Amino acid sequence: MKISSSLKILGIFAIISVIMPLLMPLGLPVFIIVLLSYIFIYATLSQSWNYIGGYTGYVLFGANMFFGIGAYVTALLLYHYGVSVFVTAFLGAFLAAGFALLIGRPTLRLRGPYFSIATLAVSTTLSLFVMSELWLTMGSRGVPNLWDPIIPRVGREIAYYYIFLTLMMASALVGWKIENSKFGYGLLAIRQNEDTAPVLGIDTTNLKVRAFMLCAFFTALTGAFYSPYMTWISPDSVLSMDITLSPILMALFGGAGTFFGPIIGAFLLESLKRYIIFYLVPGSSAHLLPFGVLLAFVMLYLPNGIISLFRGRGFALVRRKGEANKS
Amino acid sequence: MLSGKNVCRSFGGLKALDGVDFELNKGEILGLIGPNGSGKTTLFNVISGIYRPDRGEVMFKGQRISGLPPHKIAKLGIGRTFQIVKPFEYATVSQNVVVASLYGRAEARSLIEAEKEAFKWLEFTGLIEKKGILVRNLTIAQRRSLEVARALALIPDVMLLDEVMAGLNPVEVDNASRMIRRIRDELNISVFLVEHVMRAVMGLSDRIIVLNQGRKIAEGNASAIANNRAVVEAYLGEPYA
Repeated sequence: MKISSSLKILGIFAIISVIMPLLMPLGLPVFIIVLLSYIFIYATLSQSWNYIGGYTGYVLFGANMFFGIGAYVTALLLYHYGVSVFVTAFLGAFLAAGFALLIGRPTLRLRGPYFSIATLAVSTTLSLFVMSELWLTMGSRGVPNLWDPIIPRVGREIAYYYIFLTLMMASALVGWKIENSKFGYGLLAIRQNEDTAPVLGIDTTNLKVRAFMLCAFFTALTGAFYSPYMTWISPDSVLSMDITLSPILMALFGGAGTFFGPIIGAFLLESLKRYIIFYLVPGSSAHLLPFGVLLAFVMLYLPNGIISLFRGRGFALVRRKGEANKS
Repeated sequence: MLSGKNVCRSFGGLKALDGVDFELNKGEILGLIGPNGSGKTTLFNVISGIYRPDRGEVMFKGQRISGLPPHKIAKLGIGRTFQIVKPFEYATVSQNVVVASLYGRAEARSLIEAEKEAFKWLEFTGLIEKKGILVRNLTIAQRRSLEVARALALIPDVMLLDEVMAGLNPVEVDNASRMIRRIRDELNISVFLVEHVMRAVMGLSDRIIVLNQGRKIAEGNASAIANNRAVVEAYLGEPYA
């Protein structure tokens, strides 16, 4: 299969992003770098959600638990033992993937909304656990003083910028790979007709669980690096509903079921959110209003997201007009 | 090749299948007919693993397959089509078949290889010119051909065809009959055929099994079935028999 045009665009985008910080001596303000870092974080989360929510159509409603697992594993090991995030991130990611296997095995055997409800329930339980088990998690006060031993304190914005850029690109490449692989065709079959998939030889539960584990892995990885980036985490920040909801909105907005959709969604929505809450109506949650309007508009007129405006033949697996209306 | 012994399956108090025996021999076209609700599709669902039989067993190539999950049964070499077609509507015609080439017994190693395989079956079923279009734009006859192409892409030994002629006009019925014959003659696949179009099923089948209310009421060649008292009674009621 030939390299699609969308992959080329991603490459150009990667190059621009890599040279961006070099413009700082020329007067590029640091807040742009920080803004972009946040966009990369959300784009990665949105991409991860897309693996299960977009490609299979099973709506994960508790990605914050994986983000939280990644963030807390790193935070606690860093706080108590000073272990670098570059080690603990993978520990947390594999732990999260194992956790996904544990939840996915029973719930993804079923069709319908059970998976969404179960993941919501488990993530809520996990937040309560973190809040109440003070001996382990330090409760709602959170874990402070998270400075990674390897990442320098001066110029850390730039270091994290590159880390989150790498995560976003890696997750996007995984998304592209899914779309152009046997695995992706299996997920397409599951999403489009789960009655047919098994009689074509597809082990549907197995594929769904694998997509779910992949999602957990990347979500936890992002959470892990988020901890030392923030230098202080609490259940309110890393287990919040926002970590669950924003990536879903971004994926739907940009175009779920495509690897480019979540990136577009994250860029547009995160920029808009920052603009509104820092400049237009400082310190508010005023961004929620235009978000709602925008999302309603996109769902009505572009049910496949912004990406459908640019769709060419390169986006092999994304044709799903009106699919959302079917059960 | 494929056989069932005393296959039973109930839904609540309704006995959809009540002790059905059947045997499909290699290279045979076996017809399965019966009035609506007689259990034909349920039998296919039991064979392909979508339902488990309550009692009895299904054997395939000397192996007991009842109880296995559908994807394993598909991989052993049983392809099927659905009475109500179930394509991937928002994918292209070729993508629909590629899925089967990747996951079935063809076990294509790359997408290119799978596509090559898929084109072969689209050629066979006469859909090759439609390969790039979305399935939702196909006619019902083309969708039924696509179901067949997809099942063939599994490289099966046995095909379960569930009313592939429903909703087709007489010309299309003749085309479909010819295709079914070619599946047996050229590909050496045994065919188990549920059909309501009597002209086709009588002409095609080497043997016919008749179900009524979950029970087998007759078995034999076409002319024997047509003159069988129990069969006519099941279809038309007692006074006509």
